[in-house]
Amino acid sequence: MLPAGRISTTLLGFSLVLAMACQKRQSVSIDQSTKAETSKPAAATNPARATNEVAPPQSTSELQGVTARIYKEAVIVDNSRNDNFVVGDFNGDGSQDIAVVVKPGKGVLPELNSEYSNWIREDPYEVGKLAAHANEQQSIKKRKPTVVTAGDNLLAIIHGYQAAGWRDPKAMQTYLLKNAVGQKLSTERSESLLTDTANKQQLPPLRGDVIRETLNGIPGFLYWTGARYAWYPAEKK
Amino acid sequence: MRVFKTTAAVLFLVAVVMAIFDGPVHSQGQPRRLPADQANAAATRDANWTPGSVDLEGVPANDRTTYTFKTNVEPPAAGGPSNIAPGPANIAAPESAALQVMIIPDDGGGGGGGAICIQPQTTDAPTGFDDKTNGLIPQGTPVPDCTAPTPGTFLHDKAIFEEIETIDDGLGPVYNDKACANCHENPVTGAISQTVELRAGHTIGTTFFDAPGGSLINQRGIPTPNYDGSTNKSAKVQERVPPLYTAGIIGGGPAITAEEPTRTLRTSLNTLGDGFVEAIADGTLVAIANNQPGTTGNEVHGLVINVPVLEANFQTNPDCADPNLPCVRRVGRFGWKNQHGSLLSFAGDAYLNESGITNFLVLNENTSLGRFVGFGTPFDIVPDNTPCASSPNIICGEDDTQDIKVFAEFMRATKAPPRDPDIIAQYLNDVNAGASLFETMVINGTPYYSCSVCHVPSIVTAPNCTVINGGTFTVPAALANKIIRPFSDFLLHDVGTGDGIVQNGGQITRTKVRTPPLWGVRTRNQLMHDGVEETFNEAILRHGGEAASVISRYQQLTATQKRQLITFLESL
Repeated sequence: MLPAGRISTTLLGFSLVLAMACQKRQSVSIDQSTKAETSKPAAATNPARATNEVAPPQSTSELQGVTARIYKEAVIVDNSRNDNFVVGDFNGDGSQDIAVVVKPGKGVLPELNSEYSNWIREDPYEVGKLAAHANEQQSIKKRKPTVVTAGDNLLAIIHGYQAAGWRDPKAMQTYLLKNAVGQKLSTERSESLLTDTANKQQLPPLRGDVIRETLNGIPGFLYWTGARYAWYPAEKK
Repeated sequence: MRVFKTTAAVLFLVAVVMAIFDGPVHSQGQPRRLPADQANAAATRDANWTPGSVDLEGVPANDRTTYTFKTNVEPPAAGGPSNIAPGPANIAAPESAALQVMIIPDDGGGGGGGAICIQPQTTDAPTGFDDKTNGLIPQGTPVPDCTAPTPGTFLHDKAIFEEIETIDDGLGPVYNDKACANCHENPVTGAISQTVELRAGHTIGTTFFDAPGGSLINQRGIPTPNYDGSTNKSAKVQERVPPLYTAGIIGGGPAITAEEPTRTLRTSLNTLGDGFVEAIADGTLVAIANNQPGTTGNEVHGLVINVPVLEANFQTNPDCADPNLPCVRRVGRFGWKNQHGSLLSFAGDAYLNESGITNFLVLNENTSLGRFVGFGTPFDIVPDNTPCASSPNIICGEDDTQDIKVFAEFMRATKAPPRDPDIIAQYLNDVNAGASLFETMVINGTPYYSCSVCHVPSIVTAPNCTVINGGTFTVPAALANKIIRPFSDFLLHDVGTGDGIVQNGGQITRTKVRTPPLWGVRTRNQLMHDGVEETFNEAILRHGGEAASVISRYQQLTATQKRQLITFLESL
C-alpha cells in the first residue's frame, strides 16, 4: 500500500499533466513552478494566548510588600499616584506580571546601581530607539548601561511565576526601567492593539500585553522584546 | 477537453487536501516541493523520548553512575591560599585501575560484533586551547604552502575546517559564512565566535510556523546576475525577515506580505570537545533527565528528544521525510534546539544551512524565502546531483569530496575547552566558594540544589567500542571512558528564554533551549542564546521558568557570594 504522501504526489503530478495538456502553449520560466503565493499577514502575536488571571493588589501595603520581596528597601512605591501599578502578561508566558511605579529609597543608589543587583536596569526609551532598526536584538546590545539617579521615577516590572503570577514568592525576575514613567499608566492586550491599529505592519513583534504610557508628550507603549522592555511611540511625528 | 479539465481539477484538489493533512508545517508562502532539511523545518510531531524509542547505548535510564551534579572543588596549589579542603573527584574511576576487557556482543549492528575491546582507564578528557589532537587521530604536520590538505591528521583536518568556500565550490546562493572556522574560532579553531544566526517565523496559538523556506534567515547571499544581461551584479537572493514586497524579482511571483514576528538570534556554539559529547551514551542523558525532577521537587525537568541520525537514514529514508519508513534516531545533543545527535549529521546540516553547500546527507539546496534559487536558476552554478568522488553510487551534491566527514573527524579530535589554571590558582578561594554555590546554595541554614542540576559538572563517556549513532559509529578508545566537565545536561529546558522557534523536536520544544555548556564560557562576552546579555549577573537574572527557584536563591546571596559565583564562571 502506498503511503499517503506518495499517493498525493502521484495525484498531484497526474492532475498537473492533465492540466498542462489542456494548455495551448507552455511557457516555463526558470522559477515559474516555485512562485511564492501571496500571503495573508500573520498574526503579530499569539491570539490564543491564555493568561492565569490574578486579582490586583488589595492594598498599598501589599504592593509595597511585593516590591520589597525583591528590592527590599532599595525602592519605595510611589503612592502619590492613583495609577501606580498595572498588571498583565507582559512577557507572554501565561503568568500575570505587575508593573509598579517606584522611586529610589534613601541612600541606596549604590545598591540600586550595583553590578550584582537583583534586577536588570534598562532604559526602554533607548531600547525602543534602537529597536526601530531591522535587527532588533542585535541593536539592543549597543545600549549604554543604565544608571539610576536620585529622584528618578522608575517602573519595576516583576514577572509572574506560574498560576499565582506576581504573587508567587518565586516571582523574583524583575526589570527596573528608567525613563518609562509618564502621565498615565495603563495596560492593553496585544490582541486588542492589533485589532485597533490600522497599520499593523508598523507594530513591533508583540509577545505579550503592552504597558501604555505617554513619554515626553508622545503616547506609546512599552513591550517585551524577548530579552528587554522597549518603548514604541504609537504616534510618530 | 472539458472532461480533462474537470478530472484534472478534481485530482488536483484531492492531492492538495491529502498533502495538507499529511505534510509537515510550512508557512503560507512556502512551496511544498522545496522542503527544508529536517533540522531546519518545524516538525509537526513532538519527538520527545519514551522508553524504547532509542537505543540507550548501554546505560540504563535510571543510571546515576555516569554523571554527577556535584562540582569539583579545586585543590590548592603548593603553598596556595585555599582554606577549602580539596574535594575528591566526584566521579571516581570505577574499579578502573587495571585495564578492563569488554567483549562486544555480536548484535548485527555493524559495530564490531564479537570484537574484544580493551577498556581504557576512566580518566579526565584532555583539554586545551592548543590546537592539538585529543588522540583520536595523529597530530600531523602543518599543511605546506600551496598544497591541498590531506584528511586524516588533526592539522590537515583543521585546515579543511578553515577552508574558505567559493561560489565554484557551491557556496550559497544563500549562506551565513564561507568557512566553518569563521563562526568557530575564538580563541582557536573549533571554538565560539560572536557571529549570530537569525531565525524567524510566526506563532498561532501555541503552534510555531516557519518563515517561507524554513526558520533560518540566512545573513548573506552570493552576487546574482541581472536579467538585462549586463555584467553588473546584484543581490537578488538576499533573505530578510518578511515582508518582502519585491519577492517577485525571483520567479515572478507576488509579494511575500506575511509578517514573521517570532524572531531570534542564535550565537555560534563551541564545537571543541564535541567528540566526547557525541560519545555520551543516550542512556546517560535520559538518566539525567529522569533524575532531575526528583532532585528538584519536580521543578526542573529536562526534555530529551529523539532526532534522526542522518547518516543512518540517508539511503533508505532521507531526512526521515517518509513517516511510513523506518527512521533511526538518537538523543539530540547538538545545536540550540538539540536538533542533532551525531557530529556527522550536525556537519552535514551546517554545511548546507551555514554555507549553502549540499552534501550527501542533505541534498535540497536552501531557498531564498521559499523561492527556488538552486541549480538550474541563474543563481547557482553547481549541480546537486554529483556523485561522491570516492563512492560513485552515492550522490554527494556540491560536496563531492565529502568534506563533512572531515569536519566531523576534526570536531571529534578536538580537546575539550580547558579551565584557566592561572585564574584558579590566583583566585582559588573565590573559585572554590563559587563552585560550591554553583552546586548548593544554603539559605537560612538549609541547603538547596543550585545551577549544577542543569549545568551538569561531570559526565562520563561511553566505553570503548560502544556502538552509537544508530550503528554508524563506534566509540574509539580516545573518546571512551572519559570524564568531561561540560557544565551542561544537553537537555532542553524552559527557563523563560525560549526563543519561540521550533525545529525538528516538535512544538513541545517551542519555549525550550538546550542548556548551553559552560565550558569555555569565559571566552564569550555576549551571553545567552541570543547574545543579548553582557554580564554574568544579567545572564543569571534572565533565567526564569524551571530555573526560577535557583535564581530566587541567587538573589538572596550576598554581593560577595555573587562575586564568587561569577569568579567561578570566569574560570570555566
